[in-house]
Amino acid sequence: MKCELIDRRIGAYIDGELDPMSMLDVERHIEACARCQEMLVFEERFRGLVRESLEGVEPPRNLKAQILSSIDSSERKAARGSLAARAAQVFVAAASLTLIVGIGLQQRALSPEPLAFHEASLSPPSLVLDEVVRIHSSALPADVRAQAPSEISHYFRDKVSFPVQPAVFDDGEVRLMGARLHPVGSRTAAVLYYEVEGRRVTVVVTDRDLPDPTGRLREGEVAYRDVGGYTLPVVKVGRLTYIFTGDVERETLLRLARSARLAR
Amino acid sequence: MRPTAKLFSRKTNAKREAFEAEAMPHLESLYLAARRLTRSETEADDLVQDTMLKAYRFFDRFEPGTNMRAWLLKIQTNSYINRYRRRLRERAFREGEDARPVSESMMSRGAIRALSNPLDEAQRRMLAAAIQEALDSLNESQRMLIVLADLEELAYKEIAEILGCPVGTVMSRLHRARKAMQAHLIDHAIDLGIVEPVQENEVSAAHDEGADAPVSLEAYRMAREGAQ
Ligand SMILES: [Zn+2]
Repeated sequence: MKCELIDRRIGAYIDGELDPMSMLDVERHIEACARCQEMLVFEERFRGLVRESLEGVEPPRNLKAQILSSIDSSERKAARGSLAARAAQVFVAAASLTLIVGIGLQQRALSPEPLAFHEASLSPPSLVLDEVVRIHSSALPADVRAQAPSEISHYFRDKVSFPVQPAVFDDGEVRLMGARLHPVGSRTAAVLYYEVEGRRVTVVVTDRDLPDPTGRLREGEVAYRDVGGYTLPVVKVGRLTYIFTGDVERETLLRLARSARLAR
Repeated sequence: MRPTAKLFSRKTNAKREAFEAEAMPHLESLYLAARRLTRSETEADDLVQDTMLKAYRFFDRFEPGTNMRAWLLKIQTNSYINRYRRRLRERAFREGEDARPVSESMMSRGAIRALSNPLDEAQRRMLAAAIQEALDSLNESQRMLIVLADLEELAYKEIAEILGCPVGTVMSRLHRARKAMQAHLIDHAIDLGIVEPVQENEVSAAHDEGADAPVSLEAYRMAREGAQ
């Protein structure tokens, strides 16, 4: 075998990738050839130098954590997706339950006359309202199915940064069905599910401030905005905002918002 | 296990745990390969994240008992190729697959001996820089081969599978890539004074077959042409 042939195979020989016959051939030649012995030493040396010179790069310390958190958020999305298909079922099941609305301790009545938001003043908060419409129309399943406001409050205790007091209504036709967590903007909001005459009503409670530059919306007053075919009454309670919407007439929604009280 | 885990089903938790135990330990390997391929910290970071998310999504397609690291590197290499397809094409067009075949430089026995001798710390550092530069001077497909074979030390069969070519092609291309790197390195080593420049008489003796003949890179070019 000529030296040139050895040169061509020496890399694979070092890698142990030649077939057994060729391994032997190369070995036999190298044993007898000083030039190729030197070549072998060099090739092995070169391989070591390459590895040594190119190693020693450490991944950034937070890379692993970033990957794990992306995985978690993709799982959360997937869980929502697969559960969304079951949403309808959950609602059917929930609707068949007879329930009594727990009348919480009356803290304060939520406001008399509805007040339409000034359109121009609402561009940032309207994004929040858009999200509320999406939350309602996607009919995601409840994380907790409970009729007692205290159970709902309890459910949210460690999950959102504010105490959640579900809105309750004197109207016996309104039934609390359950609740779930959902992001609104960068915050986690409490989403409350109700049924009114067989139709869904959603109330989103968020500590996100809805700026009201007109200063017209006072504590406890009801304002509303129409978004994508839905009416969204909004009530501010302390630092919280209650946003209502549902598959019912505007008048019904406004009436509900006006008559809503806070359960404790 | 982080506190968010309780939000997921038992099946999901099992998958996450398995992924963390089996795939995550290869993060350093992936990142090293990504850095050497992209030559950029941010791009490497991006590429590895992308790779790991894909690997997680297709985790059930991994065949137990096969090489996890090779599987991950396959995903990463494919992501890299797809991501930089345009750039790769442009570069291939500009450089040509073998625009600078195996270089005109000769590897004299002197050069071989010089590089085989023990090096001092300063020489080592200079060589390390020269080797990184040599890798960067390769075209994309050669760089991938060096990374997969010499850095990640995958088997030819695994590399062939990753790159979608026969094992024989891996062997001949890898040979070419190494020679190209050596040629670049020798140039540098000469500049750095580690290796003496090639002498006239050595060059002229390149085609001799005697034991004292210098190792001519011309031989590699012929060998390559012969191999194709
Ligand atoms: Zn020989």
